[in-house]
Amino acid sequence: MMATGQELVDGYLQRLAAATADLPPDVRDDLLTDVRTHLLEAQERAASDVEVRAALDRLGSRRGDRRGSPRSRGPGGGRSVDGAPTSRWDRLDGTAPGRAAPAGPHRPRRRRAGPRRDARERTTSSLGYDVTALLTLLFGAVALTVVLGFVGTSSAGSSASACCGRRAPGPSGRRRSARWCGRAVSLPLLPRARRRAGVHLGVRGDRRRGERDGTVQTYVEPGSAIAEQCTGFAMPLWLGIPVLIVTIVAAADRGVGAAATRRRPPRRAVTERQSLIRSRRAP
Amino acid sequence: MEPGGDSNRTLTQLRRGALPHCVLAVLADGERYGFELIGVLAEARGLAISEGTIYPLLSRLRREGLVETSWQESDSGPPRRYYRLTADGERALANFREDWQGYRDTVDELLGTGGRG
Repeated sequence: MMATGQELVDGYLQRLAAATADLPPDVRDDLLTDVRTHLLEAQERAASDVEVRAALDRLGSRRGDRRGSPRSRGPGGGRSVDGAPTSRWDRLDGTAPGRAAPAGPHRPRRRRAGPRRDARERTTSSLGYDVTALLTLLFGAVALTVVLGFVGTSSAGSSASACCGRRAPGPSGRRRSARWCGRAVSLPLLPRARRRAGVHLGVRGDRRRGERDGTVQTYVEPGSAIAEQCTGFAMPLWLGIPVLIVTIVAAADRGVGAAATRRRPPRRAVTERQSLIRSRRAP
Repeated sequence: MEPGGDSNRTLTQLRRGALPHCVLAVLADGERYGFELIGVLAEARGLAISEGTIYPLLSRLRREGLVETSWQESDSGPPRRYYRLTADGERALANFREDWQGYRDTVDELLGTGGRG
């Protein structure tokens, strides 16, 4: 959404107020009053928002710099051809020319294609980005869990015969799935599950091969001793726990990091403010 | 260093030094409000000024007592802050004119550009 001229002016004045927060109050008030009056005048004369934008650009730029250097970084902290800061805010507080000054309302930054966004749009976009990132993370974690579980289960199934042999009917004669029987592969890698958390895999008993129900098949002799019982893992569940922990930690970190980023002023502004403070202290 | 860099730096420093007195000179013709003053200065080729340069400068001149201001209602817009020279401002301008002429003559003489306009 394209910001209107009034929104641009309001955003500009807000940024200017923030950028000049360290100036003496009377100097700052004078400057803000002058710029606000100027912009009101410009808006009165402007036929369109384009002219308001042009007025803002002129406030935030120095034509001399543009002429002097093709690499001029533009408004509020650009550098002249001699490398000295040429911010219009220099000497505002009696500082010597060439000393660093507070960042202007338009800090130099790489322009992106498309219309400019004002502060409110950026805030909204940032919130949307956070929510999107969080949802993506959560869905990604679920998807990852499912995929890992699927792969793990398939691997365990392939080695099932090493533990439990072919799928065989249980003591009751009912077929039991042996696809969880990956103990030989999985147990060295994963914590051993208690029986309650494990999945019953199958039994190995005295096998017989013969005719049964009219067909030739392998079956477990009913009542034979159970030689071995395999337990395995519900892999999606067990793999999901560490993935969930990682997800929560990452999401918390993302939230804290984003909040800290919003609170922290831009590095350049801090540096320039510090320079200004140092310049004031200098004799 | 890009070609002509030294020349540009010299010009930047000259502008920086002369601009306050150019502002005083424009105000010597009569009081003006900020927007109007900027319009006059922007038409002066070679000064390369912008709005963002002038307002902090005016603020400094006011604090130094070289100009004074007053608010006046406008028929066609918001109230305007008018700037006018003080007695100190007139003296500072007169001194600079004298110094500048002497300085310009000397430089012209050394550069061999005297009389070329």
